Parts: sequence; C-alpha cells; structure tokens
Amino acid sequence: MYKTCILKILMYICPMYSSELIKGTLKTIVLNLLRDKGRMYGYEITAKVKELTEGKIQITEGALYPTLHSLEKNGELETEKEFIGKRVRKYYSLTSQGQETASQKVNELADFMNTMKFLLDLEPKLGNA
Amino acid sequence: MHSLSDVEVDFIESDLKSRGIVSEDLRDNLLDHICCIIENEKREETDFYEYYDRILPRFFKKELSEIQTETDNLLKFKNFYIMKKILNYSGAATVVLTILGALFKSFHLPGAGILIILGGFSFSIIYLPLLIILKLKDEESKIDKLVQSFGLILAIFLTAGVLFKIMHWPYANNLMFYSTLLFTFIFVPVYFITRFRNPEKKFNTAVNSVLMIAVGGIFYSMFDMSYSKKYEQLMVANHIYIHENAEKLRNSNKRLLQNEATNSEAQNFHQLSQELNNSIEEMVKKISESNSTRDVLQFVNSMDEKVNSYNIQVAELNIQELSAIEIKPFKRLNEVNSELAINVLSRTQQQIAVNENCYLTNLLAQK
Repeated sequence: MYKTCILKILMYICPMYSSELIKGTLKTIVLNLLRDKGRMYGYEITAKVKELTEGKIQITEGALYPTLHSLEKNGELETEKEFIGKRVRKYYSLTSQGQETASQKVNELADFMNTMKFLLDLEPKLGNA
Repeated sequence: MHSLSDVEVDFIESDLKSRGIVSEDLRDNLLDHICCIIENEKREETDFYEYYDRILPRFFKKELSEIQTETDNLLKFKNFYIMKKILNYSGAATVVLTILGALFKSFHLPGAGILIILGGFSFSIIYLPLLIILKLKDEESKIDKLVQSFGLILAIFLTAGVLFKIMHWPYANNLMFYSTLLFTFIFVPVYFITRFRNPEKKFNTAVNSVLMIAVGGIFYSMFDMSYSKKYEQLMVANHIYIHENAEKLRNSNKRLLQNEATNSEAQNFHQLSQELNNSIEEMVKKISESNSTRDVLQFVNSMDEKVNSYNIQVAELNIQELSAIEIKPFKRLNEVNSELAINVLSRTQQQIAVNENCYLTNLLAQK
C-alpha cells in the first residue's frame, strides 16, 4: 500500500508538518486516497487523512477545495452530485487519466522521499560508512 | 448529533456568498463541508451561530474569499500554461517564417510573399496580443501594465502597417505613420517618465528608451523620404529637355504657318493647339509654384472641352501621324508627385507641337 507507506515515511521524517510540505504533496495525497476509496466528498477526505495520520496531517479546507477544482478542470477527477436535504454534496472520483496521474505522482513522491532520505543522511546507504 | 434545519443551511449559504464565494460549485462544496463539521463535531448544547463563527476561521488566513481567489488562480493556470506555449510556438514561427521569407525574397524564389505574410500574421495577430494578455497577469503595477500594453498595441499596428505595405493593401501608410508617431513621441516618453524614478529599473529604462527612440526615429524619418534628390533632379532635367524640344518645334511651326496665312483650317488648328498648350503651361506653372499636385484637378476639369474640340479637329484632319490627346492620365495627376506630373504634362505639350508640325509639313509636301 503506497499510501500508508508514504504517510509513515512522512511521519518518520517529521512529526509536525509545515503547510509548505503538505501543499507540495496535497495532490498526491488526494489522488491516492481516491484511488483507494473510489469516491469521496471533501469533508470525508479531510476526515480520512486526519484519521489515517492520527491527526498529524490536517488538510486545510483553504488548500483542499482549490486543488479539487483544478484537478477536476484538468480532467483528473469527475464528480457526481447528491442532494442531502437542501444542500448538494459533490463526490469526487478518479478518471482514467486521474488513475494514471495518481500512479505517477505516488512513484515520483516515493522516489523523492528516498532521495531526500539520502540527501538528509537519515538512512545512510550506498556504502559510505 | 446536530441536525441542520433548512433555515440554518440557507443562512450558511448566504453568508458564504456575502463573504465572496461567488462560484456555485465551490459554494456547494463549502456548504456541505461546514454542514458536515457541524453535524459531526458540534456538541448538542452549543449554539449553532456561535459554533459557526468559531469554525469558519479554519477555512482561511485573513478572509474567506482567499479560497475563491486560490481556486480561480489554479483554474486560470491551465490556460496560462497553454498561452505561454502558444506564445513560444508563434514566436518561433515568426522568426523562422520571417528569415525564410527574407531569404526567398532576396533570391527571388517563389513563396517569399506567403512566408512573409504568415510571419507577420503570427507576430501581429498571435504573438503580440498574447504577450499583452500575459503581461497583464504579471505582478507589476497597474501603470506599468497599462503603458506596456499601449506600446504593444502600437507595435501590432506598426507590424500590420508594414504587412499592408508589402501586400499593397489600403491604409498601410496611415497605419505605419501614426503608430510610429505615437510610439516615438508619446509611448517612449511615457514609458521613460513612469519607470525612470524606480531605482531598480532606472538603468534598463534608460537603455530601452534610447533604443526605442533610435528605432522609432529612424522609422519615422523614412516616411519623409518619398524619393531621393537625385531622382528629383533627373526628372527636372528630363522635363527641361522635353520642354526645350517642344519649344524648338513650336518655333519651327510658326515659320511654317507663315506660308499658310490664308488657310483657315491651318489657322484654326494652330489656334486650338495654342490654347491647349497655354492651359497646360498654366498647370505646370501652378504645380511648380506650389510644389504639389493637390489642386491640379480643378484645372483638368476645365480642360475637358478644349481637349475634346482639339481631338475632333485631329480626327477631321485625318492624317496618319497625328495622335489624339488623352485626358485620362490628367485625371490622376493628383495621385502622383509634382515632378512626375510636370513630366506627363510636358510630354503632352510635346505631342501637341509634334501634331501641328506633322500637319504643316504635310501641307508643305502637298504643294
């Protein structure tokens, strides 16, 4: 499971995450979560991330919705609307393009994290002991 | 769990709207999100409005409209990216097409015109307008944006003018002239004044202004050079040559006419020739005095009758060597420069003298 792996590594690097760190990985987190869960709405996404990371990553609404809208515009996500009483709930799910992007993004981030680990000397490898 | 009433949902929605969430999609999302928070996290005893005020700051740093702005920016970014791509491609196309066009033109290869036109179009219709749009999005001051857009619009007109000139389309000169004029004498000073005070931009502004004034000034000075002095002198010499020869013919005609003192036909023809010649002489005088062909048409219009009766006489004489005078070229004299106009007129004067000479010689031969 990429997602839990990524999140564990993120937690390992730093237990308190600045908004810059989250901003750069938000798309990856959202796409990957949707790949696992099928379809989700905004609140569900924030709640799920909070739950999975035990509150260490809290996606702010101010960053989530602009990202969701731009992913939708770019054709990565599609939406379904459901009426709940007077209000509308938008469920997001991945398009086939979104599936592909999700894989790319996760691979890219995993690779990036390995490089970072090496760069920051957190897990010295490559036989330089 | 708090169950939201319709009134409360309506309250949230109108509050979101009044706080600057204008797009319906985003508002629906936020509304649902807030409702979810209230439903899942609010304690039963807490007041709805109080709780709402407490959770709303989660959504922003300073004000709620940040979310709307951020969304708009992200949505625009895609177009922005495409526009930049098109800008690069059209810029490359302009360079390639123009260079190829110039090469083809200098080697007289077919297709040069098309290449140059396509290059001009991609520059003035795609590249420059896109540049304006992208400039407007830059994080510069409003005045800078305005001034630069103005300059680019002038550049569009100037390029269009050059293109029109190459294609011989109408208004080319006007387009080129006024855009250069505005560019050199209004845009560059405004550009300089608005930017010079900024110490960071001072040097670049000065350099750019000098370059633009130099280019604009050179362009502007070209409009005044309709043709060279050499050409003008050549035309004058040509006119004097034709005029002197015609004068010799007229003198010779006078002597020949003395033999025909009783021939009314000859006297009549001489009279007509002289009248026409004098009218033309008057036009020449007017043109050379004012050094312009602007008012020449009013003379031409009054000459119609004289030319007509002269041509009728020529036709009646029925001599092969005689040529009728054509009034058609006269009607367009106002479109050419004064040297060329005088040349056209003196050629006609010469033709009149030749006609009379041929006629008189013919009479002499018959005797």
